[in-house]
Formats: sequence, C-alpha cells, structure tokens
Amino acid sequence: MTRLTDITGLAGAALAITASLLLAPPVRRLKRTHIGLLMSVTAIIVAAPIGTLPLAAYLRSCIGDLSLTTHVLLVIAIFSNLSGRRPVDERQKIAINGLIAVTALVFYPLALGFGPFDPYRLGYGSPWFLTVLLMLALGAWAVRFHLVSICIALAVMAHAMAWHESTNLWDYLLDPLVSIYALVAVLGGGLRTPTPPGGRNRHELRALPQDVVESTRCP
Amino acid sequence: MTESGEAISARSRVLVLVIILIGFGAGFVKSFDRRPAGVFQPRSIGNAGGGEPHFETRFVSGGETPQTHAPSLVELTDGSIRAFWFAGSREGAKDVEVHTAVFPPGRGGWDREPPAATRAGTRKSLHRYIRKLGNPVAVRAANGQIWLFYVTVSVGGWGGSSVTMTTSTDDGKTWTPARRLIATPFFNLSTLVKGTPFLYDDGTLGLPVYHEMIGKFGELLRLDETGAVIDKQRLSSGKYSLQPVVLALSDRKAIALMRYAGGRPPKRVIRVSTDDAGRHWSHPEKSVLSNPDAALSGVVLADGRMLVALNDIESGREQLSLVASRDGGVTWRTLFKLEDQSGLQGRPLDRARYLETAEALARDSDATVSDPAELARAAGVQMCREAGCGFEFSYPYLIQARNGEFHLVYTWNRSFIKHVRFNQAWLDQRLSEKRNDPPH
Repeated sequence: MTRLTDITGLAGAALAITASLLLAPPVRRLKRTHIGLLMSVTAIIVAAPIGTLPLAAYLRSCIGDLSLTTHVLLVIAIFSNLSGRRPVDERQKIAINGLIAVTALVFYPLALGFGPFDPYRLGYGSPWFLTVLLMLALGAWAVRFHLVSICIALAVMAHAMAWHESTNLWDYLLDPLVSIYALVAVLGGGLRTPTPPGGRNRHELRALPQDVVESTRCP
Repeated sequence: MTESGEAISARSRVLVLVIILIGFGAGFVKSFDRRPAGVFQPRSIGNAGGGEPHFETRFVSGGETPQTHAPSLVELTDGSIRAFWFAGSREGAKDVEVHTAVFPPGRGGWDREPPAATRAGTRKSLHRYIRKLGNPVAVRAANGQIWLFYVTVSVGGWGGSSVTMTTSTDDGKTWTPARRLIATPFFNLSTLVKGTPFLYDDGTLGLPVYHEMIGKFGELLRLDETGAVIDKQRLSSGKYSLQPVVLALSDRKAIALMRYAGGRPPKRVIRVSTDDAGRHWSHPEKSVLSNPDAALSGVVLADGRMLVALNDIESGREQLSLVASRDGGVTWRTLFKLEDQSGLQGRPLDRARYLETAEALARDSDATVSDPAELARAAGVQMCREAGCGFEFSYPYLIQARNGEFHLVYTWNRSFIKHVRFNQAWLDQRLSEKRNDPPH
C-alpha cells in the first residue's frame, strides 16, 4: 500500500534530483526547451521503479523528506531557468539564506543533544512556537521579504495537512540540505568582493546556480 | 515603478498575506487539537502470591540462525507470551530478520513462527532502501492492537538508525505494512528502541528511545492512538546514557534508568526521576547500580517495589542479576543471580573448557534440549576469538503477565534467547531471604 506521504516524499526526492541537473555545466549550456525536456525525462526516470524501488526512493532513504522551504527554493530555481524570469530578487534570497543559516546553526546542535533543551520538541504543536512563526511571517511580509513569509506559511499549512510522514513542524520548515546550502551561500556572500553595479561576481554565481544558467545560456 | 507594476505588486502582497492567513489558520486549528499531557498508568496487577514457588528456564530460539539478540515480550489476549528478537548470520547482516515465537499458557514450550519483519518487507512498505534491522520492542496499545517497533538502518551503522513501526490486530499472526517514525530533524538519523513501551492514562503511548550518533542520550516519544508521534522529551543529554527504561510508581511518580555508556568510573546505571508525570525530569545522576555499558529492564510490582534485571557489574556481561528496590530505586538488593560466570573475571577461557562449561549451562537452562553440546558449539562460534572465549548474558527484557507471573528473556551468548519464568511466590521467597550481602 502506498500512502500519500510516500508519494509526497518520493516526489520531493525526485524534484531534488531533477533540480540538481541545473548544477551541471553542460546542462546550463542547453537551450531552455532542451533543459525542460531533460528535466521532464529525468523526473520520469527517477520516479519509475527500478527493481523494487524507484531511484528517488534511494535518495529519500538517505535524506528523508525535504522541507517545504527546500521545495519552494527548488521550484523557484527550476522556474527561473526554464522561464528566464526571476521571481525573487537578491534581497529576498539573502534574507531567506541568512534566516535559515542562523536558525540551523542554533537549532541542529541543540536538537542533536547538545544540552538538555530540545527545540525540536516545539515542533509538536506548540502554540507559542506557532505564534512566533506567525510574527516572523507577518514581519517579513511587512518589510516585503515575501519569500520568507511564503516558506513559513506553506510549511505551517503542509504540517497541518500532514503532507509528510513527520508530525513535527520543524521538518517542514528546515532540513539539513537547505541549511547547508544557506550556510554556503551566506559564507560565500560574506567572502565575496564588492559587486559592481548591475554585475555579479564569481562567488554569487556559485551560490545561486539558477542565475548561473541564465547568465551562461547560449542565445 | 509603473502603475501596472504597482498594481501587480499590491496584488502579490495581498496574495502572500492570504497564504499566511490560510497557512496559520490551519496551523492553529491543528494546534488546538493538541493532546494535553497525560499521567502515567501504573500497572495494576495484584499480588498473585500464594501457591508454590515456581522458577523455570528454557530457550526460546532454536539455533535457526548463528546470531540472535535483543529479545522483547508482549502478553497476548489469551495469556500467551509472544517474544520478538532479531536474528541472522551476524548483527547488522543483510539477512537479519525480526523473529517471533509464542509461549502458550500450560504448553511449557515455545512455538516459533515466521518472521514478524524482514528487510525486504520493510523496504517495500517504507519505500526506502533498508540496509539492516535491529532491536524490536512490542506493546499492547490502548486500542488492543500489538504495536511492534524495530530499528532499521538505511545508511551507516547503528548511529544511522530510525524506528519503524508495524501493528497487528490478531495478536501478531499478521502485520500491517510498516511505517517510519520521524523522531529527529537531522535526516531522521539515530533513534533506537530497547526499553519497554508503556501507556499513559489517556491511551497515548510512551516509547523510550535513545540516540547514539553524535551524543548518547535517552528520550521519550509519546504516540497517539494512531501511532503518530505527538511529543518528545529529553531524559538526558551528553554522551553517556542509552536505552532508558521507565518505571512508573504512581500516576505522577516515575524513575527512568539508563545504560551507562560513558567511560568515567564508577560505571553506574544513570537515573532520572519525575514527580509530575514526566513534565519535568530530574538531572541525570549515577545510581548505586553497577553497569558495564549494557541494557537493563524492569517492572514495578503492585506494592511499589521495583524489580530490575541487569548486568550488575562494571565490566563484561557474564553476570546477570535480579535486583529489587523498596524505596523508589534509591537502594537496591540483589535477589538472584540468573547467570554468573564472573569467576572468570574477564579472563578468556580456552575453547575446550568453554565448550564444556557452555554445554553444562545449556543443559541446566533447558531440560528439553536434546543436544546441549550443539548449543555450546553454536555459542562458541559467537563467543570465541583467537584470544579465547567468553560468556555474555545480556539485553534482558522483563514483563509481568496479567496472572502475576514474571517472564524474562535475554540474549544467551549471542546465539540463543533464554526465557526465565517465575511467580510471585518465588519472588516473595527471594525477597524474604536474609542475605549476607549488604544492599547497594
């Protein structure tokens, strides 16, 4: 019997594998339509059972279910590359990466046993935790960090709908992969040289592969 | 910004606000359904004293696989006892399965049944690659089903474990497809089970778990009637405690005992306590019970005394004892040595002497064994190295059945599961004995 949470979990893993194609330089050099075709074929291949399990299941075995934040960022990356449009500006990316990085640096050590306090417990329906998140989402909305607001709100909604196997809200907000990505992006951003007006530098391109594709794509 | 651009931007802002309101509306509705904290439900098995003292031992497993380990028990509706353990060519091997057997009342022997869980079946149910299976523990849930929790690993060693759950409505004859419990935020790695699950008064279940990836510490999961994790509580932190066992004295008072996994002597069982049904647990401290980094198990008797089976030594696992406490786990008295090869004092035996001793132990353990020498040879395969052979009696799991009888199972030299059955009269006899050894 396949549960809904298995389908959503496998779909998330398939999305991650498909989006990871955008990191490959040869793929970046393809036309948008070819990239779209390649990603579609890849999605079908990784979702199709090979032996007893689809390829996506092997990735899911290792990384678990991806957070809604990761889903949103992957969808934006794919959309950017296939449409040539950028739905999210640089300021939004810096805000979400910074928020994820700081949260992860505090959250994971405590949740993995560094001390008696376990912040992961807050994710089991604490109304106080939800209130703090609501304040954060509304605050981000007020200063036009809409990506932050959307990621938080979708995570809370997906948790309420039991979208994944996990019953803990943290697993919808954050996962180790997006945390590593955000930390790398923040560190890369901190180390980079000043960006010339209207231009982008090497470190920024590395941290934001979807932009790389756009800037290096053949006409 | 142009007029149309401003209009789009305004619409986007409204849309984002609507998403926030819908998302958090759903979130708060779910949050209002949150279960309030429960209180413990101490087992109310009366003192089934009287009758003749009774104590018997036998083997549960029959040497079907080279290695067996980590048994647990659950009582069935007809009073039978069902055992679970993991077995295979070696711990962590791909052929390891969760084996099961039933001990019917009055039958006097174990009926072994097909495995309750396999790697292939678990992989199919979970839609995940499963590398190996480990410790199983079972409990009768509030809805009458038997819930079986067992350790599964997809990547790495035991530190990469997760807990998988399957349920049975027919006392373990058939099992539902397995599902995964998500208990940590880091790839759901490093959650294992060993301690006996228990019920709260509201029908929710307490599942003692532990971590051994970066830290080694105990936690308590709380599951609702559907098996969903609804809360988690840390019992200890750091790198020195594993495999918690919760012993509830009343609806609010309980202690949790944990295997000591640290290296700093004296090596003692770690103890935490609560007076408010687990809302707060005391700071972990070393108890007076010795512990060689090995699992323990226990029950609370109707009169409040605690009975614990453990390796009551600081190194090795060649001695297994029953100890009891009358004061909530502060002081303990050894009642009976279930196994005792401590005379070796950690020195390895030569193979011939080991086989001779193991054969005698096998014969004493189970009078129905037709070839105790074969059991000794099987034990030797697991317990003999180049330097010599040693004994291991470990991973006890103790329950009290509804008729007041006690059933204890443990790993016997990594090759068999041994069952000890005794009644209240036998226990009373041990408790009333004047012993020369002072209390711990």
